[in-house]
Amino acid sequence: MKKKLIILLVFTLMVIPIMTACNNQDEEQSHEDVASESKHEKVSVVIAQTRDVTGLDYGLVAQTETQNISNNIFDALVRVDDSLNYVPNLAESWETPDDNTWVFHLKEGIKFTNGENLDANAVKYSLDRIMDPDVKSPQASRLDIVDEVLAPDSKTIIIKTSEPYAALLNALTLMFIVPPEAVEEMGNEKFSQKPIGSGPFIVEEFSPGEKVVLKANMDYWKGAPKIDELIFRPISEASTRVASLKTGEVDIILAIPPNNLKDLESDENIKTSAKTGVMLYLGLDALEKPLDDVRVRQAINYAIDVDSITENILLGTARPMAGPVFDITFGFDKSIKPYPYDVEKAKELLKEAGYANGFELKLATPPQGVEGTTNTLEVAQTIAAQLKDINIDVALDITDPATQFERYKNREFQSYLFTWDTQVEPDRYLYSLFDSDARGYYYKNTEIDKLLRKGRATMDQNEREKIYNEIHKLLYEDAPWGFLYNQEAYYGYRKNVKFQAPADGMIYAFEIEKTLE
Amino acid sequence: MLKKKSALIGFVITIFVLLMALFAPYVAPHDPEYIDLGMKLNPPFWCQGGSFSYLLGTDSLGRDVLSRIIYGSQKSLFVSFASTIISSIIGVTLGMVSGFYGGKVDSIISRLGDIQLAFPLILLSIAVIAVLGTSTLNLIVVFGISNWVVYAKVTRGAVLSAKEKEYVEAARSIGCSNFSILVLHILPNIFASLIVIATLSLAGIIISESSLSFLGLGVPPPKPTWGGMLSEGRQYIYDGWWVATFPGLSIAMTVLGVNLFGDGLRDAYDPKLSVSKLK
Repeated sequence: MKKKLIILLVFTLMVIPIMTACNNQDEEQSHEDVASESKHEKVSVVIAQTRDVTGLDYGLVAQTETQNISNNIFDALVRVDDSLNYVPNLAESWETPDDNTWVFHLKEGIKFTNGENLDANAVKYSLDRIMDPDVKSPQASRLDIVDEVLAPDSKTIIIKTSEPYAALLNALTLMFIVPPEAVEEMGNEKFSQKPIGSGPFIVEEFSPGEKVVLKANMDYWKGAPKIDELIFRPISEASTRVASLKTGEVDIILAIPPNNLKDLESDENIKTSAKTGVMLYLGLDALEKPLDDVRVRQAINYAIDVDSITENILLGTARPMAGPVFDITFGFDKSIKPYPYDVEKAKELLKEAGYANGFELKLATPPQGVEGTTNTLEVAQTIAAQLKDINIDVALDITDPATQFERYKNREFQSYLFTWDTQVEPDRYLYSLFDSDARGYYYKNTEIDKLLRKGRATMDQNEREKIYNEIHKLLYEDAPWGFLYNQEAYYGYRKNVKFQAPADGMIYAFEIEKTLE
Repeated sequence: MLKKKSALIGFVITIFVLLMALFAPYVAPHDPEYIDLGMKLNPPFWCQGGSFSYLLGTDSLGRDVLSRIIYGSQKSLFVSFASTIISSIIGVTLGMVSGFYGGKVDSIISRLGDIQLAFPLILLSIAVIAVLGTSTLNLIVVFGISNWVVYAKVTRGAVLSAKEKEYVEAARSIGCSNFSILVLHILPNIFASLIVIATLSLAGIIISESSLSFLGLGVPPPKPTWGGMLSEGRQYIYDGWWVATFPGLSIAMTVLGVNLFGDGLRDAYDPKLSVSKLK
């Protein structure tokens, strides 16, 4: 009898969750049915990204995938247009009475979707929140020479900087304005799971690993978006992403692998669009032996045949990089050429550094491309094979893309494949990547720090260009990374969708249109 | 046993794969990890553009598919043999203890087995690998630990029936210890059935190992594994069908071979389990 009871108990314990899980699904199903019945032609656009997101607030999560989502939930003071100019957004106009002061005039009458007013106080709160050390915002370094933000009246914002800040407008395009009361009430953690903004879309559902559902904000101050629903889905497997686009399961995909391009371009239902690109680099832990020796890092650069990788694996959709600076970036020094492929030189450098017999190197790589890059695992294997020629034994560590950034921050990598999207403004990425206070996880160089801060504070364009030329040269020679390539980021979309690869790399679905097939 | 055609075929395939794995360095025409980007996606020799130096073509990084399959067999077989041995040792020991002593020990071990059976093997392996990380050793441990129940159940049954037999009583009456009765008298009598189970579960482990490698949880690249090759080749299925096809065929053939061989063994040595003979 007792035995039977126990069995019964175990059985019920196992069955209850299963049954309730089914029930939930049924309920959801019926909700959806009702919704679609009441509004017949609901236009929904599904975008497949390469990675899942840990949160939806870019002020707290430094992921490009989050950036794409935040950009549709929130507004920033300033936007970048298709020709990469800064144009008014929440701020109607701005002026600089002196080098250290910026005055922004806000548009009036804008409300957050929870009814709060988007006034100067909300802007001040949002910027202060990013700069608050307790919040630990990954974007904080973008504002670290901002002294204070003032809101003298409800439509004026004054930003005071300790030194002239040439890249302030650029930084502000990434500072999304949040509703103060909602953030205070929910707390940052919860807010990032279901944020409230003033943007063209409203968060409806965030199921980690599955999808982020946004619905149109019909009262958006620029007018209602042309689609009713926007869904972001993480599909990390490139071939699955391509197949989903072909079957029409998704409308837009990021990062098409080069070998699928021809196939997709010949599909009459699909169009492709490319933007300037995403760089892949081999980050090196320059704070620990043996990679703390600049000769070892240079040797790695000489030993990797980037030309062969871009030609054979990426089929010509990528260009080798000369140092960590893009050729379209302000301050790129044209006289610097990519490290040539020279195994003998690499061996010599290793020998000088005392590693003639090589060493073991752990290389962390995502299993598939992230952001716009593709074929990462193949590239990693090729790099491993090429480094073997100079006796460096590479062990691949295949990381889970979702936890990759955390592990990166915790210094768990010895070397790692990482990405950054192409930018014109040098401060936007060089400062984040190489300043010791910003991300000094794997590389610190006081000289670079000084120059970066000087570059940020210099208003004279000629002088500023010289500073970034020098930074470029120094970084090239100091080789904190194995410099790889800049790959064109291909977006694929169904032909009934009006879409264009975003010039600044951030998807802005307000401009997306879709006619039903 | 080898008179039966299917068993013979299974035997030949099994021996063939075993020899291939053992003599991989002598048989393989190329270094399986040697990357030659200039030679990527060469088709097999009978297709247009193929050459005899790459009999089954090359993959997306210009590595020889045939050599990778040959070396890949090492990993698959090593993992499955090692884990089969581990699980059979654990299973047989627990089964014998539980069958021979009975009582509380028996019910504890049996319930443990039931709990173990409630977890799907793949799910359990994914969980363990996710925590411990990917390596050959971890794979062996996971498979070894999670497969013991079958052995334990069969052994327990066999011991239960054997311990009432006259030869056991005879051994006991001349003063044999429990241990020597178990190891010297009962074990040899159930050995044939154990071999049969081991062969059959071997095939299952080969598939599990390939599935895990396919999911990226097996042996990390660039070491070749059949599942890993299948996964890498999938992306190129339109550009080079051979990259994924041949590792897939290898898995299918090997598992079929081992299964046929196991069936043959069962028919020959364990009439109790045989279905075909009853017909």
